[in-house]
Amino acid sequence: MSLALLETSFRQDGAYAFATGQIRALEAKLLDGAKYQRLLDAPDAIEAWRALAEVGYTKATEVRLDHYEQALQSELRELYDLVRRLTVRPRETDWLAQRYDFHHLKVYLKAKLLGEEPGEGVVPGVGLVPPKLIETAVQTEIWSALPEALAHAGERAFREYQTTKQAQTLDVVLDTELFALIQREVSGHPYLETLVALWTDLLNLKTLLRAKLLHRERGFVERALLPAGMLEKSKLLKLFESAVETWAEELRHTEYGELIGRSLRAWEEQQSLALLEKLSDDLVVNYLKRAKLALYGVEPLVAYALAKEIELKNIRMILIGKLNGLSKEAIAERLRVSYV
Amino acid sequence: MQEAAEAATVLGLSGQAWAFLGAAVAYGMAGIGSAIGIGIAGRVANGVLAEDPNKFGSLLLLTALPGTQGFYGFITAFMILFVFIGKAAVAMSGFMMFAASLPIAIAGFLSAIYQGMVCAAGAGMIAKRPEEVGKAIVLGVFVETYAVLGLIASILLLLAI
Amino acid sequence: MAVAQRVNATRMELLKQKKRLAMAKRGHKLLKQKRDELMHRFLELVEETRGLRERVEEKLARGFRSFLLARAEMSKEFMEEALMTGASSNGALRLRTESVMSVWVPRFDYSDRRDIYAYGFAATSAELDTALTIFQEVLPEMIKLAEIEKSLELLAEEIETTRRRVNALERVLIPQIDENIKRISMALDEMERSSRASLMRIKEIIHGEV
Repeated sequence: MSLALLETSFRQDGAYAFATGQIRALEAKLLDGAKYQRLLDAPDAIEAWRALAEVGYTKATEVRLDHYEQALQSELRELYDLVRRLTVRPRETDWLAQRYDFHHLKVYLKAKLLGEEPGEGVVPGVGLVPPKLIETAVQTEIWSALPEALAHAGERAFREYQTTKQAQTLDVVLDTELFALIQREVSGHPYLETLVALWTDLLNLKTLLRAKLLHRERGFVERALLPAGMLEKSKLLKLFESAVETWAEELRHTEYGELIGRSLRAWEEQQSLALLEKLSDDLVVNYLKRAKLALYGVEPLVAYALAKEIELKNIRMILIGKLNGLSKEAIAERLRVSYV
Repeated sequence: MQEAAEAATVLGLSGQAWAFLGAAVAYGMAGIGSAIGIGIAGRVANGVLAEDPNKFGSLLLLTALPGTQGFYGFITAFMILFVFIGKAAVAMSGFMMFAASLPIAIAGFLSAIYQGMVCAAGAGMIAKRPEEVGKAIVLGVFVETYAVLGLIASILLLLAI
Repeated sequence: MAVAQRVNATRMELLKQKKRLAMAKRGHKLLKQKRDELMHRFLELVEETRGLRERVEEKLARGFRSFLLARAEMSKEFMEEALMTGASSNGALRLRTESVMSVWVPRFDYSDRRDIYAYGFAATSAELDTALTIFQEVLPEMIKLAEIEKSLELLAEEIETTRRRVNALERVLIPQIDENIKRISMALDEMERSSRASLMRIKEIIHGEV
């Protein structure tokens, strides 16, 4: 996948010199192709788990394979502890963790409004705001206890749900609010701005394609699209109106032509958008890799955090695949490209 | 010219004052540059060490590299003060000594900062590939060249007075 | 054959037994027809269920595979959140029964008014759409399958009872009645013979005295 059209510039920020040094050392511990191959070569899940301990995930020796979700969760928690510790200007990295706050807000809103159990949906210790606080705010509908953006989003979602009575409204409102927030937070950082725009575009294209394939109406798409990144909303809606076969051609002059083309071909063959998701993540990782060129700044920190999240996703994929007897090839074709 | 050469002051300062100023600028600028350069490289190196203390050996050299400019500035200052100070009796010669100190002051200041950046990047690289420490140092030394040239230029200028 | 010994060897009884035999034979014929028809229905359903079962199993396998992949793409917590739809009460399943050859078999009426894709698209994997689409498709078929398999079970029971009845008629009741009839006729014949012998004897005596 090429990112020929995207320019990269960094805001050299000496305050992050220490953080960058530590990140560079940590990057060396990320899994590379050879290490992934070792995990893939393991004959079963138990062996893969053992191999994971050997390639640097020491938690794999402490807990049993049955608890791999907890192990991955505690890796994630450690990652966010690291980000909090290394950040110099919290505003530049908080948005990473705020994704989890919004997730918790969704969970508790759904629990309250739909009468479901929130328990399993919470990722403790990762967000900025303790889940308990969000729960109380949702229960009491006293939003002022939450940080402003979260309070605003929660209140809006709550209000709009009252008119539509659809669970999806909560997701749509909170996703849009979250991305609007992220876009505000990263403005002024050229590297991060482009990253978020790229990411938004990919999510919007995914939404567009899924809505098209599930025969959703235009009104839904208009609501579900995130605040535009590099692809304008009007352009996306025009795409939605046209036949799906023309999309790759329409997007030829963007970063996404090849991605859409290949994903649609895969859809024709296997009725699955797995390739779209893999290629999207790959595109993001390839962009993240540019942070390696940054001397120092917040960029390597953010890139590392997101790369590590994708690595955890890869590990989950391998473990679940192995646990369910998927072939090595079937797992490998879904693995995201490595950051290192 | 004759008149100016024999004047007791240039721009209101005596020859010796100009020589002192030259020495101060040579060492001050180069020293500040080195401090900044080491500061940059050192912070990145510290970050690396926080995660991987075993790399101290290779990082030490990289971090110390931007420190040389300070020495070059010091050498220039030393030469002005102890070797050439006699010539500063003539005001114009003192002024020329000040001018001679500028190459190492400016080249030292800037090259130390940029060398710090190169070494910082090198420290990041060593974090991932400890075996490539030689290459990281060579790249740092490229910047060093211009600090050395600055020093030589300053000395040649001093000798030409 | 205990019963057979108790029958009274009378003409009345013979007539009764003959009537019983005729009835048993008619019942036997009817039951045999019923059995054959039930078998016919049964085999039809078996044929239908075989195709359906294969389809359901194939779809479930695909659905679970998709779900598995969706699960691999998303962390546990995000999956939980996506599936908190609160829509579990919106599908409606109604049960009625219908008579097939006087066997009451269940009929399920399933209606689904749910929007199954009730989650945000930004935080979920597209694989989840595929999995849920398949599951939604397969649910009515699974219900249909349950309906047919229950019907098969009930029909099989009925066939078994009918077969047993046919057998009972064929092997026990009809031979027994036959036996009774034979016995009664024999007894009657015997009685007739003995009465004729008595008559002849009486005749002889009368002739002798004259």
